[in-house]
Amino acid sequence: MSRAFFICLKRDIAIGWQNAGDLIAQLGFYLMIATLFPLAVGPAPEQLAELAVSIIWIAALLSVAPNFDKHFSSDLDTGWIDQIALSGRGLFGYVAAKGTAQITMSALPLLIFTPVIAGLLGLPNHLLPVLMLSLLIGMIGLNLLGLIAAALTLGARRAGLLGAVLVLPLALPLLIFGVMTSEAPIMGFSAAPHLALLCASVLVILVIAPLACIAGLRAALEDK
Amino acid sequence: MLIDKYANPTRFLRLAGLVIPWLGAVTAICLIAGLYMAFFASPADYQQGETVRIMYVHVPSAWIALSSYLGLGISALFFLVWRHPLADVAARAIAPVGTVFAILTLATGSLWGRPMWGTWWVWDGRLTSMLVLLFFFIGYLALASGFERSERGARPAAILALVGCINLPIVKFSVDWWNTLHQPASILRSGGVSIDSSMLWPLFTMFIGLQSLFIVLVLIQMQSTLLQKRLNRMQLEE
Repeated sequence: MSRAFFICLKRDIAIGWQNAGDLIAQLGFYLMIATLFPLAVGPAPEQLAELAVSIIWIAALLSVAPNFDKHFSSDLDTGWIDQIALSGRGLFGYVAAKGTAQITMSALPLLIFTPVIAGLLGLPNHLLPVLMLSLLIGMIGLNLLGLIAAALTLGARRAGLLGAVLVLPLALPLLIFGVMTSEAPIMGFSAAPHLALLCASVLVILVIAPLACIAGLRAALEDK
Repeated sequence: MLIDKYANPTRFLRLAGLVIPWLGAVTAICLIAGLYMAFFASPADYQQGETVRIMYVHVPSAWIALSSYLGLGISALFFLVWRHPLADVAARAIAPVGTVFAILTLATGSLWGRPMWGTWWVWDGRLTSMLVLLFFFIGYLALASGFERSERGARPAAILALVGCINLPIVKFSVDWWNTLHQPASILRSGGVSIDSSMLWPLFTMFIGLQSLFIVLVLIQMQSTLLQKRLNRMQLEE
């Protein structure tokens, strides 16, 4: 299993580097969504600083959503998934590698980029560490949900839109607990209980994701 | 096992043909009696006046919408684990009817909210979690019908329904807690009256009526899906 995991991980990271343009588009999209809010609600600094946490969370959520359909479809077309299924090593290593690669190649750049957006929106500096931590955990959960959606919509018409429709309701706890964690210091509360709930939600997703992904992949393989 | 016995579509069709008229009669009697009691034979609320009669549709609809998602999850489990041939047919029949009941809950709640709270909608925990339930139904319907061949959507949709079953309680709790932090619960507290039997009976009758309506609609939908499949097969054989 672990060998399959490392081979797949190496491959996915290499492919991710090759398609660095996708990443630039995603980060650009992230920045653009965040830009829409000042234009729509008005540039008043106090108001923006108050909304900054919510804006960043929504922008992060939306900028990840359109990427979901690409995860497995090219691997299915090239026969990579068939080969792994035939090799008898099981699909778990493959799916785990996919998730790890996705988190490093998509969630981490987004996170590194976040202080820029926080600065643009005038988020108070002392809130940034909590926001970054909750966003990191939330993005792990969100990308795993995206993996589920990608596996389930494999071969569907308009898989991209469909994936977003499936993921966003499932991602609501991440959004709610994430924003609560990030905003708790503003109201003088401890962020810890909300952070614990956020982690618990991500752990539940972590348990479901491999099962659902593998079942979805098997359904797609049988259909081929 | 009883559930295996009716895995045979022909046997199921015979049973459904037998059950539907009886359940239809129960539906008609309960709905007529329930509506009569709800409109004429039950008192107006001392606080809410005549608008309380919306409750007799609203509350049963909410129960049915919730339990139908559970039914969807159970069907999905039977489909994935035991490959029960009727489970997918059942799930696909449950989902649209459940969606309609969820919409009915939201719509009647909104109509009730206008005179009572002075607004069509508040972002309260219960309202929001019913809206999210509707999103789950929409996701299921979209995925089940999102493939070129409709059978191909069966397994992904079943997996989604199960994931939803596990996630729905989390969503519900998160929404409830989110609400309690941001909004005081003063609006939804209508004095905290426990229901009097003069209101409980119409409510109960309406619940039985709407629940059997739900079952009848699902059975009819399953029946017609199975007959449609049989028809397609016969056309192919010719």
